[in-house]
Amino acid sequence: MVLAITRSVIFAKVVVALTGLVMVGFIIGHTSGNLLIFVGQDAINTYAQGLKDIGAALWVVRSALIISVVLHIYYTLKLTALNKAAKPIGYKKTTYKRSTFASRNMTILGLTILFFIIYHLLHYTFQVTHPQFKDLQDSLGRHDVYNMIVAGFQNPIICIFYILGVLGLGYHLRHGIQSMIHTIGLNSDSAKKYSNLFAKLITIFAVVGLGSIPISVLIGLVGGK
Amino acid sequence: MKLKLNVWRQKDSVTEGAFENFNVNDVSEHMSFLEMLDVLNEDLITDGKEPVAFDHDCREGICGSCAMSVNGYPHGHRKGTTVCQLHMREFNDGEELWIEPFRAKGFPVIKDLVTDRSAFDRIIESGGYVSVRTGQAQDANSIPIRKENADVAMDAAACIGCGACVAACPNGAAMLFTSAKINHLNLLPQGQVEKNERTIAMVEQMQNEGFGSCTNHYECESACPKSISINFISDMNKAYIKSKAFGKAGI
Repeated sequence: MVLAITRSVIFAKVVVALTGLVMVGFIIGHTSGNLLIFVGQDAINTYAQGLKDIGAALWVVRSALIISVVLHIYYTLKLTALNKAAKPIGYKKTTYKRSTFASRNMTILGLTILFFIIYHLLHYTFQVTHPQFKDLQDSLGRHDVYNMIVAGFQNPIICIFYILGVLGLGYHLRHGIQSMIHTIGLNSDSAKKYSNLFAKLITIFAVVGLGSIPISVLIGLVGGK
Repeated sequence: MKLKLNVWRQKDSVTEGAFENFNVNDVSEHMSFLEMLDVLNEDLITDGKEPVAFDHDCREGICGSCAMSVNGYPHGHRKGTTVCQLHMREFNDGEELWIEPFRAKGFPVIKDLVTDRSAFDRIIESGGYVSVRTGQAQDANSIPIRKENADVAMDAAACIGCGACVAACPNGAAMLFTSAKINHLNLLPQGQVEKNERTIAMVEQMQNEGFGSCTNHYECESACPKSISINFISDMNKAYIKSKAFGKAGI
């Protein structure tokens, strides 16, 4: 029986890898942009206004991202169900040599990130949880993203939730980036060396970069009087 | 040496199994793991009990028949070793061992430690034939091949099809086995003619047999008694997508 390509596990794996790549690109961009908070109020507000001014083109990027997220989740859940069914009984003694905490928990880490993203969107993007953020304006009449972030991270519980979300992202990236490179077929010795390095660097950049923002606000390094 | 064994006993494929405890004394450290089980079985037969069923054939690590997990490790914990080549000196006196069949949906238990691994035969079978000229035998080395390709094809050919990769994989995936078999022929000049059909057929047979998919745990590579590289999985992914997308165009 010849399968349609879309029903094949390898196709699903490659889709997960490529959509993962799109999201890694987003994470790098998002982290770099957010780090402007350390430059100052004007820098991050100018950046936020700049993104808004892109207009339609921004929606092209956003659409690509949303499609990637949906496909990534759809195919990983499908593969996870297949993989669970293929191993109905484990061993009495569970022993691993090479797999890691991250590799064994990719699905649950991914779903944790999904819940984090939903909250993050409601918190800062759509401001549903904190409607007062909509009215913040800086002296130039732009939306005051700087003070929104500062106000948003005054609550330590929200900060802890963000830090946990970012740590989950870190584990997911550490295994995911390397896995993605291997799955799409880059497997020479040098490719493996660089994929490992690449995975570590992006993970550190995302975790330290994104995690530093709530911590800095909480200890008063950003927005403190 | 004395050992405390917990061995998986299962009457047949439909009956539920359970661990049975045995104490074996007088185990020599020079015995192989299978010889230790032979001693246990002799005692069981003398006592009029049912011996523990396990697969074995060559007992020199090349046939791929022996298959069991010791303390959760397919073929035991020693790297690059089949369980028939695993010696009792690898264990400590008085140690408690858990001996189980290879666990995966694709490998149903037939009896005790014996599993049905015929899914692998069907994957091989689905690969079909390679076109070769019949007639007189060719002179050796008359078909040119890159040294690198010959070496890697030889590494892939080292797979003995024991199924430890599936047994070690948390996803019950057979991608290391299938990719080793696919790459073995895809790397050689003789394998070029049917390359696309073979790659597609073997990957899809693997999937139809109910094996899982690779999520890059790399447990297979460390469990493999022949240390087959996970690079083959990566190459198989590439070859499959290429064959599926462009195979009909003859690229």
